[in-house]
Amino acid sequence: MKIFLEAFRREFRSIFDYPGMMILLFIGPVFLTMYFGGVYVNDYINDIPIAIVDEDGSGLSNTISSSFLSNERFDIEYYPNSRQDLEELLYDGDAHMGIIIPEGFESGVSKGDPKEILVVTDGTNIVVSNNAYAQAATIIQTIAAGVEIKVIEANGVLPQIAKNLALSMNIGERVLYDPKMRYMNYLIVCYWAVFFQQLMLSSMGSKFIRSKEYISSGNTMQKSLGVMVSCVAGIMPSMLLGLAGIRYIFHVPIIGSLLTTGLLTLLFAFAITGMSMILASFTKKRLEYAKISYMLSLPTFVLAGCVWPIEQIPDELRILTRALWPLIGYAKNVQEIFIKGKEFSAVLPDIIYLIGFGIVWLFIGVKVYSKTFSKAGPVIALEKNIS
Amino acid sequence: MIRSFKEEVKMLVKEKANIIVLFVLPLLLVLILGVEMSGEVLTEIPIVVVDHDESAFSMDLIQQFDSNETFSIKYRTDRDEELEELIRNSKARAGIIIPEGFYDDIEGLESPSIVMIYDGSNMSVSSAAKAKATEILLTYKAGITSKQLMGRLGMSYENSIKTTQGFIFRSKALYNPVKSFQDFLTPMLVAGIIQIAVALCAATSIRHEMLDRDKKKRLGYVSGKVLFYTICGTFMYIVSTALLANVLGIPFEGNMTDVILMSIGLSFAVSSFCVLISAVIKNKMVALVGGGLMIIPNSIMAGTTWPLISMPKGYQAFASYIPFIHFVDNYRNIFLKGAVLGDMTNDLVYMFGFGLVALIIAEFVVTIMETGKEDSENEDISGSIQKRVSFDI
Repeated sequence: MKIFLEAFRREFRSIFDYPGMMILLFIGPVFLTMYFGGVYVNDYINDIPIAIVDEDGSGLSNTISSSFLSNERFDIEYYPNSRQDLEELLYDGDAHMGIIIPEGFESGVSKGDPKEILVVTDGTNIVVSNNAYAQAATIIQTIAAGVEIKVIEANGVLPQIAKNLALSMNIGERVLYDPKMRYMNYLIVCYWAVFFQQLMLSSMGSKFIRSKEYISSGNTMQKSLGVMVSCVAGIMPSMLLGLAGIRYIFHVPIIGSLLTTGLLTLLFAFAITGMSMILASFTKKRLEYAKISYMLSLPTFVLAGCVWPIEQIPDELRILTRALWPLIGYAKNVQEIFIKGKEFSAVLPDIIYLIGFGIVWLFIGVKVYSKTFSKAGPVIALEKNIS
Repeated sequence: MIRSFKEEVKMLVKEKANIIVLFVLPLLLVLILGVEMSGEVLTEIPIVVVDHDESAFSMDLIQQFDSNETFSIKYRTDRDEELEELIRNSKARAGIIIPEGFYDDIEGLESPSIVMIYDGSNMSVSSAAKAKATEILLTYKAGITSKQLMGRLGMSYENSIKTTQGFIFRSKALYNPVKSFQDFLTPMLVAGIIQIAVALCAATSIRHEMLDRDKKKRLGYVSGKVLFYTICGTFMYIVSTALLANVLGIPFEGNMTDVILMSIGLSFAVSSFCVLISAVIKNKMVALVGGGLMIIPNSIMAGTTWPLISMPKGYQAFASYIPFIHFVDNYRNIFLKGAVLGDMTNDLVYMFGFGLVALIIAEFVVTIMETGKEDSENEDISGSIQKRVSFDI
């Protein structure tokens, strides 16, 4: 314990020796959170450029066009003359969605022989395509329901009964926790977790390589934990500021327990300590270490359940990921604690996982690190003396 | 220039980390994404059912969900609170609440409400669940209305179906008909990581000791580095494209020549820019962080997860100068739309122009620099702010 405290004090003080390290720990999290958060500051995808091919030119087709025109989500930028022209607009990326209203549409509806409206989206960008389609479907279904009631009425049915027949059942829906389904809520907390991972890796790695003689000279485990805790202590104020920015500037709800989040964060830092030591042992130089740790950001992010849900990852890959990198037990949990108030009991398996991961990899990390640097130390010293 | 190029080849062989960064990790990401998103679309989304009606009618509706490959009914409960608890703890991602007397209310034309509950915290799951659930429920509703019309108004089956449809509404997603996440996301993420790899290695490539040479002999030193990393980047784009198309099965509608040209353009622009950073900043760690900060966020700025049209104006304006923006949409369009060179000439010219300007500035900077002394990576190992202020990290 004494050695741990000594290492903690030593490494914490050393943060202030290097302005670069101070920037990394004190400014990094809040800057990155604000910078990335700015990307998602608009809630919706509005003013999506669309095109309408109106082959019918009837009152009903005009009603449909007007509904799209008055919807803030869409911006009707083109009225192409043919379906081929529409396809060209979609190919060139000038329009993201097209509506084709076929000839004889209105007369077909009134004769009880409806023709189909075709909504064509540019599927290369699913985010835009899904948003556009969902809104278009709502608009068209609303108009279709009105048409359906009128057609039933035309069969001599009273308006109220026609309405009840058409609306045989209602479909209500509630989107819990994030009714607007904002991308901000979906991603920014995961990014925040990844920033923590990257900045902790950078700062711990830097210390493991800079202070290799000291750390590998004995009691390596306690000293490495001292390094980890000193980095956590250094980074925490800026992480909390970033969190305040997420809450008060980007208006992301934080309804869950900050205590559970804090525990997870500490355990995650513990879990990556061993990995950081192994990487430091492997690269030996801070520059090489930094390059590889930066490169890990993307693969670990895509495997953490932030983009593709964890339960949809094939079992073999999920098991391998859990064995090799712990972000999968941290990032999504933090997002769900914030947004949904995920309970401690639901997070408990991952808390146990992070502890287990941390112990196993710290043990391996200490072994590899001691083996690498206790050998390299005298060699480096000798080389310095010779030169 | 050739000497500088050879120096970089030697360093690549010597520094195993560069081989990992440039070649191993990008290929690892291709492999990861290939396995991770092999399902392409979301299936077996866990849902919870609260059936207060418990009629044959409600059972039938539940069966419609269970037999659909998008959903898997994992939980049944009779308490609405439990449904919410299951969603809060991520055990279920959506829920259905069927009210008591549902069947009787339909018979009595009372328009009962079925409520779908979605977990809004996971957008990819909730949007997929919402789209499929709405489709199932609307089909089911049309069936009910059709039966009512036949029973109450004596309509024929055909007429009742036409009436319930009001008008027919069909959708089609061009270029990605199954709306595959893998087809949409993988090329962009792979393009992003290759760019980052090139940037990180190029940003630390200038060895400032060479500045001890005669100024005239320095010309071409930067170009050698840029050439090396342009070749590495282009090589990786070619290999990754071949893997994405042939191993992961992402539709590749365009041709490889266009991929090669665009890859040369981006690799050249990124290499030149990052070699310029390396030339200007002597401290390699600071240069690395600078290069990383300039390049890594590009993968987000490029509209990978959020379209450019929805970003604030300032971000959009900034993004328009980033070479990656001029590459990534085209790269995906070559895959999915079969875009041809004529569609991307302007972007290609921009990337080459950007690279050329950065290259000229970098050559100029290296030529006029006075000193060749470089900050050693470890020289501040025991330094303190009192002794010497270092900007090292």
